[in-house]
Amino acid sequence: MNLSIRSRVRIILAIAAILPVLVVGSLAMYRANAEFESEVVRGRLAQVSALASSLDETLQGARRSLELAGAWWADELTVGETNSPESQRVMHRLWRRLHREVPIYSDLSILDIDGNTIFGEPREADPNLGAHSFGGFIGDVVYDEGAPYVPVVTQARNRAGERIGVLVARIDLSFVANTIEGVPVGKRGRLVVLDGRGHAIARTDGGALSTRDPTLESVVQTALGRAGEGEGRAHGRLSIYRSLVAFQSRRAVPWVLVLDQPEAEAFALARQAAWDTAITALVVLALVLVLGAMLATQLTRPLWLLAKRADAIAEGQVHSESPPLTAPGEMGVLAKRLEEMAAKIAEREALQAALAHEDRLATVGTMAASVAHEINNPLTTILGYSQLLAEDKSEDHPDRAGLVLISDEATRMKTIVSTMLEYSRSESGTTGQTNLGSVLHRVHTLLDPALKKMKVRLTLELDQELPEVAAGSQSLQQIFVNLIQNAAQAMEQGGNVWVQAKMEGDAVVATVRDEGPGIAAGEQSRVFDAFYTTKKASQGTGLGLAVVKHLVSEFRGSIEAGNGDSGNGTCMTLVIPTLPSRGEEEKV
Amino acid sequence: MPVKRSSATLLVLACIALCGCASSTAPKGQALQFWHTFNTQESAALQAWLGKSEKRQVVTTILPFAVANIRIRSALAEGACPDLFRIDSTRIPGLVEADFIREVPSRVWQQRNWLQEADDLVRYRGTAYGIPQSLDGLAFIRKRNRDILWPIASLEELEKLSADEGPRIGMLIDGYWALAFLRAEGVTLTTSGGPPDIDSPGAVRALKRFAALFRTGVAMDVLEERSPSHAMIRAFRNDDIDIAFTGPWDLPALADGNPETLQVSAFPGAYAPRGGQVLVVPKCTQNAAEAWDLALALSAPALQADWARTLGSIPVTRDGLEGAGPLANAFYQALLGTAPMPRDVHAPELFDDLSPAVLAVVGEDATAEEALAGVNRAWRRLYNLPAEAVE
Repeated sequence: MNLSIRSRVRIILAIAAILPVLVVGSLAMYRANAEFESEVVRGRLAQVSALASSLDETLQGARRSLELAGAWWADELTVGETNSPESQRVMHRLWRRLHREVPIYSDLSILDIDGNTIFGEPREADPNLGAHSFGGFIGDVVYDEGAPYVPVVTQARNRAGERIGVLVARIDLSFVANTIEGVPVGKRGRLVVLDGRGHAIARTDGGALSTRDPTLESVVQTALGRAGEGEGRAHGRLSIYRSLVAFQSRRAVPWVLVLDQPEAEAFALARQAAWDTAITALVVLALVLVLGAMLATQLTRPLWLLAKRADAIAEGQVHSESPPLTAPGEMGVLAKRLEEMAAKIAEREALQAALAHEDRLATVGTMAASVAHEINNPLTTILGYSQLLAEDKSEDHPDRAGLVLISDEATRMKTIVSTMLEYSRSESGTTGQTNLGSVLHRVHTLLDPALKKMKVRLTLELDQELPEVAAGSQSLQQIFVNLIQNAAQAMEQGGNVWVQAKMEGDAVVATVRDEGPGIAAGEQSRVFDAFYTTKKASQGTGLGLAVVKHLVSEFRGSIEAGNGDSGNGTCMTLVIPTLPSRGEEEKV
Repeated sequence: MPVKRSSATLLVLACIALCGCASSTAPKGQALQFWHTFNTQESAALQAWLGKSEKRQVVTTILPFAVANIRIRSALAEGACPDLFRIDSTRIPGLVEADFIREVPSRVWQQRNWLQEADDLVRYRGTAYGIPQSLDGLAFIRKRNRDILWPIASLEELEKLSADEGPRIGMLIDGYWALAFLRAEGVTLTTSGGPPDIDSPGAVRALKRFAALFRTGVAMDVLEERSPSHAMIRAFRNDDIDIAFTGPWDLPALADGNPETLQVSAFPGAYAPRGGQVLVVPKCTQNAAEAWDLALALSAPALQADWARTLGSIPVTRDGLEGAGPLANAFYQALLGTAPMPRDVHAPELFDDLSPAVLAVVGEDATAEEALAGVNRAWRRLYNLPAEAVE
């Protein structure tokens, strides 16, 4: 897959953002959800336990009250006198008081030591009722025409601990329904109180009483099998139970309270919180991804620019139109190195182009020299004979004009050939030790007649003490002849040509300036190319300035073409190295 | 696609494996109904064990210890039949006489190397009517670092313990606890062959000696309706008492994670009561074989040893005792210096009248003579002895 570095960084940042959020977030949510649910269960357990304790305490309080009543009654009597009128008054008083203090008692029977009912509704009971139950117990739930009640048995013992009789009372369990009626259990939840056989005593959902509820079978079985509290989950419902079974003594009430509720409802708040957390996490994740993408863009922008720049370089655009890329750190170093590399590539290309150009010129020169040499001799013959024939003809001879024309054209051809030979021979005599002023004066003398014909005035402006320059006199003469001739030819109506030479630093700077039209914009770099000319075909070969450039480069000088300060006229600026002083030579 | 094909194959194999596993652990038939009298910690251990090792479904129902006999007898009389139930061993004669329970098949009985004391628990008139589940009884337990006479060799030594620094021994004001003192004075509890000797001079003397321990402050009353054990353990841990006179059921809590810090010794003279809990199969069950299997599994040496260490349940087999740890073994040694409860139909009910009498005497509501005379009358009624005998 060919992805850009920006895309890769974005993907890495996205993975770096998504993975931790998903993994850590999922774990955190799982844990938080478990904690939430655990808290809900704990809360429900506390609710059910508190309710169970309340019911248990009510029952135990009633039992204790009956025990106290039994003890009081037993102490009031003497064995064998349970049926006396006084005894009956005592039992009636006991019942009135008991019912007033513990209104949930709906009935009381008192049995004597032989099992005979001596007060209240007749009971068929064993005289040993309550035996080995630590003196009493709370019985199983009984339904009387659908109304649940529970018998409470206590053996009535006197101060010496001797059993005088047995008290059997009924607790009306309608209070259980009243107790659980207002308990908040949720819209689809229910609270059910069941006896030791799993029969419903009271419930908040209006379901059937005194029967087993198949939907609660599992949790009730579990609850009846152990003491304490617990939870069960089945069929998408959460069931919290609390068993009232006590291992010890008379407290034994094998009841079970079950708070049953759909999990979705029980854990609604917890799950809503989990959803809120998830949505918050996703929003944060989205923000992180956007910020990550922006960060990736910012981080990779220098790389992207570098890549773009590298692509441009690869396509040959080594010179950038944009400002060089700057960036902090290694990226900046890389950008700098890339620009340096581009500069070196450009330099090398220029060098290669120059070499190719030089090579081409050298080839052309060699070829030109060969051609010139080959045609120079026949041309000399043509010129000689044409002149001889012309001289033999009278002025009015009809052939004379033709012969003169042949002679003139042959002369011009010879000039061209000579120039070409000069170009091919230009390597020789380029170095040496020359007095530039002398050379310029000689050039002035040589060209003066021709310049006058062209109505051109040559002016030399030389420093008084010009040092000797490190160039051959022949080369210098050829250079200035070419430059001055070019300047003169540029002025068709004639004009002035100024040659200046002065010392600047370690070199002599000479300028050749004219009053011609100057060099057009964009042509300045081409004027030194071989065979490039703006003159008429009969006036130039296009080799003059090429020869000059070649000669200048031979003695390691330089030349630049430009226009005058006012924008008119051509100005050639030539830098000619001088000879090093003796001291410098020794250093060298 | 090979990968998909192999995945599908794996899925199918997994399903087959799951089905195979599920079918191998599925209940073979109706769930066994097991009614028990385990306390809260024991119930939790039972559920954990059933959860790990059950080969068929077992539905447990907890019965409060105090009313277990009443509930089981009424359930059996009404035709509501558990397959197996756990009950105090003193209830076996009554259940046998009522023709409610089965004899243990010899093939079942022979599968364990029972301790003699365990054998005593279930045997009535020479026949075993249940599988022993645990031994218990009363013994002295102290912390090794407590500065007190140890072991206590006689009742006189116990009575001479100084109460200057507070109570030295914790026990319940209950007929079961007073039994050792009664026996020390020659009271037998049994009525066979004559009237009860519970109001004999020896019995009066014993009750006075028992009550005197509380009056002088040597003994501390740990009677607490909700849980006497809690009061005993709290006093022991707080060093409010030096010695706990209690049963093995309190060992884990008394040890508080350091069983090596405790010492156990028998009540002097082999008078303290010894008993235990048994697993009984009623005659009405249709799943007797599975019920005996479950009873045997509950008496397996490894489980017995585990429960001895964690719950203080004294094993009923030699093999179980070997892995039970030093504290359980020490308690077992102390139990060797006890006497079993009477094997009598009414033996458990004797305490219904004895305990209130003991409480009345210790509470100084009545004299020992008055209280024990009342007990005598009650026991005569219990045994249907002629009224004249009361006079």
